[in-house]
Amino acid sequence: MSQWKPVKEKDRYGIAIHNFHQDAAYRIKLMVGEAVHILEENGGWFFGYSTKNRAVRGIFPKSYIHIKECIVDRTGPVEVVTLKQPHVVQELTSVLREWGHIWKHLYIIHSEHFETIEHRIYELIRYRSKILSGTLPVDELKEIKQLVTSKIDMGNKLLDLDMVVRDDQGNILNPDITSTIQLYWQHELATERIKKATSVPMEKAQKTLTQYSHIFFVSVRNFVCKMSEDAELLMTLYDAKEGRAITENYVVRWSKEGLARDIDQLHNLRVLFTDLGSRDLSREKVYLVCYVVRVGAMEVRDPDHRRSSHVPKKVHAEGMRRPFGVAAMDVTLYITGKIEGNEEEHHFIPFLQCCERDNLDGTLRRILTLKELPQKEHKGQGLWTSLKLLHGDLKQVREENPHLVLGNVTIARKMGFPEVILPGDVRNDLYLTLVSGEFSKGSKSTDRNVEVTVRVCNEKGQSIPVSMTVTCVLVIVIIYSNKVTSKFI
Amino acid sequence: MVFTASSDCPFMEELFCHAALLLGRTRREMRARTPSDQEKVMLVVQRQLQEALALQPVTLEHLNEIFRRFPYSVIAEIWQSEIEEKEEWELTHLPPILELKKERCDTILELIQQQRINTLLRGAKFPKYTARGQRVKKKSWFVCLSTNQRSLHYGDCDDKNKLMLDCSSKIAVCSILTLVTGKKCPHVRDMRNRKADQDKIDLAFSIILDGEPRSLDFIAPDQQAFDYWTDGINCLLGNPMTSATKDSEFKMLLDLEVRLQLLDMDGISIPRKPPPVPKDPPNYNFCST
Repeated sequence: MSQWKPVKEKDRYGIAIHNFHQDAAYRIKLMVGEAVHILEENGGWFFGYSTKNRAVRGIFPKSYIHIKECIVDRTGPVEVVTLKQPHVVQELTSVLREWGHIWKHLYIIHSEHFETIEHRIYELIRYRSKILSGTLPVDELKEIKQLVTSKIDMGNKLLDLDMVVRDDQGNILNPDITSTIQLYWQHELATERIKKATSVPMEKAQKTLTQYSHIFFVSVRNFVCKMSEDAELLMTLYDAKEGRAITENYVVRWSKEGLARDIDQLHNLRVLFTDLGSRDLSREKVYLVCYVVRVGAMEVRDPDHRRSSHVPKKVHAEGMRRPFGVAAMDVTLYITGKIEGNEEEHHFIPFLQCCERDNLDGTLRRILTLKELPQKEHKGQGLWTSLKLLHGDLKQVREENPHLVLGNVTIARKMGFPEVILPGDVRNDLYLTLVSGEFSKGSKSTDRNVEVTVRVCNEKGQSIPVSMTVTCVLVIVIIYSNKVTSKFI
Repeated sequence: MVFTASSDCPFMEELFCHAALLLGRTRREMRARTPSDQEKVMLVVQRQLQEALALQPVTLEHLNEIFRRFPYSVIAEIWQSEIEEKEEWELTHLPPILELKKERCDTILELIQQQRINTLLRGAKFPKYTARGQRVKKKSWFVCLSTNQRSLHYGDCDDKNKLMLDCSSKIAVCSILTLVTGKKCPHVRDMRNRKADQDKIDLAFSIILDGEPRSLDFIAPDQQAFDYWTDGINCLLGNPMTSATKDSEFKMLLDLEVRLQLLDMDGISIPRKPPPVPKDPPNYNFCST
C-alpha cells in the first residue's frame, strides 16, 4: 500500500480530534475541532486541506481525524462537500459562526446589542446540541425547529444582516426552484412575522380567550350508597341561577352490589360535557348534579341483613323507576378555570336521599340552599368523581389529552347550540321534558300512581319506530313529579 | 421492596407492570407518534427507572410516587444539565482544548485592547474635583483620546449638557510618565481622613506627566469606567492591563470562541492523550495537484 489512493466519497469530511503539529515536510497544522476535506489516503496518513485554509494542502495522520458522513454536491461549477446533517443544524452552525465574528466586532464598538447577541448565541448552541442528540420525538423536533428559525431571523434582523426566505415550516426556500412571486410573498410574510415577534413580548397567549369551545371532563370513580336495588345515575351540569340543566344527562347503570352494571366499564365511566362556550364558562353558579333513580320495586325496602339467604319475592312491577336522591357539587370554580381540575384527584359529592313525598327537583333545591351537607344527612353516602376543564373542540381535546379521552368516552352534548357552529354540524334533536301532570283522583281516596310512556307517531297515528334515546323515563307519581327528557334524531 | 410483593404475583411481574404503565404515560407526555419515536421513549423510560430505583423505594406505592416525580420534562432537564456539566469540565480540563485556548489567548487580548482604546477614543465625562479632592458641584470635564492616538484632549463642560465639548487643552501621550491609582493619587491625599469618601479613593486614578500640568486627576463614576480607563491608559503606555473586568471579559470571550470552534465536535469524544503519529509515509507522490 505505498500508493496514494483517492478516498471514497463518503469519507471525505473529517474533524480533527486533537491538535496536530509536527515539524516535518508536507504536514499541515491542525487544531482540535478544525474541519478537513480529505482527498487521498495512504497507510496511516490522509492527504487533504483544512477548511480554514484551502490553498495549503498537506498530510495529516488518520488517527487524529474523525470521519463524518458527508454529501458531495457536484451540481455547481465547483464540487461542494457538506456534512450530512439536518438542514436546520447546518444553518445553525453557519449562522453561529457568522454571529461569532460579528459579536466580537460589537464588543469593540461597545454596541448595546452585545449582550443580547451573546445570550442568543448560547441559546442557539444549546438548541443545536439538543437537536443533534437525537432524543427528541418528531413533534418536539418540529417545535424546536420553528423556534430556532424564528430566533435566527430575529437575530439577523437585529444585526442588520440579510434575511433568509423561509416557508411555513421554516425550511429555506431554494431560489432556483421557487417562483419569484412566491418568494416575494414569503418575504412579506416573514417580515411581518418578525416585526410582530420583536415588538410584542413573547408571551404564551391565553388559551381560553381564543378557544370557542370547552369540554368538561368528568370521570365517575365510585358511588357509595346503601340501597337494595339497582339504580341509574343521571349526571348533568346544572345552572343554579337559571334553574335548569345545561347539558344532556349521562346515564350510568349501577347495580345493587355497589358496582357499575357493566364491570368492564368500571374504570371507564368517563363523560365529556361538550360544546360549552364562553357564556357557559362565565355562569354564576354551575353544579354537577347527579340524580339517582331506583329501578325496582315501588317502595324502598331496607335490605334485611339477618336473612341474607332469603331471596325477596319478585315484584311484578319490576323495572319501575323511582326517584331516590340527589348529589350535587358546586363546580363553578372549575368551570371558570379558577381551580385547575386534576384527573387524579377524587372529589366526594355527598348524596341526599329524597324523603317521603319529595321529588328530585325539591331535593336538588334543598341541596342548593344548604351550604354544606352535614354528615348525618348524607351518612357517608356519595359519589366520587374526578373533574377537569379542557379547552378546544372534541378533536383537539382528543389529540392533546389522549390519556383522558382514550377508548369509549361518552359524549353529553349541550342542550343548545355551541358557540361556533361549523358547517356540516347537523343536529336534529327534540328535547321533550315532561314537567308535571295533574290527574283526577277518580274513585280512590288517595292519589294514584300513573305511568307515562312516550311514543312518536306519524300523521296517521301509527307509531314510528324512531330511534329514541331515552335518557330518563320515570314513573310519574302524582306527588313525585319529575322530568323526562327524550332525544329524537 | 422485593419482599413486600404479594405471594401470588412474582415481584418481577409487578415491577414490569408498573414500568409498562410508566411507559404509556411517558409516551403520551412525549407525544410520540412514529416508530422512530418509540426508541426515544424507551431511552427516557430507562432513565426514569434508573433514577427511581436509585432512590430505593420500599413499597410499590412509593415506587409509583417516585415515577410521578420524574416525568419526561424532568428527565430532559437532567440530561441537559449533565451535558452542560460535561462540556464545562471538558473545556477546562482536556489538554487539546487547553492548548487551543492558549493559542487563541493573544488574539483575544488584542481584541480587548482594541476595545479599551476605543473607549478612550470615544471619551467620557468625569465629575470635576478640586486639587484637594472636593467635588465641584455641577461641573464635569470631558476627556478623550485624539484620533491619531497621540494626545489626550480635555476640557470643562457642564454636568448636563453632553454636547458642549470644549476640548481646548491637551497633553501629549508621550509625556505621560506613569499611571497611579487609589491612595497614591495626589488629589486623594486629603480624602483619607473622611470616611464618606473611602469608596471614592478606590475609583481615583491619575496620570503623572512630564511637564506642566503635573498630573491629570480623575475620579471615575463607577467601577467599570475605572477599569476601562485604567486599562486603556495602560495600553497606551504599553503596560499589561490589570483590571478585574478585563479578566472576566477575557474568560467570556475565550469561552465562546472555543465553543464556536468546537461546534462540529458534538458527540465526538476528545482523547486525553494525543493519538500516536504513524511512521512517515513511503512517498509523497500525491496524485492530484
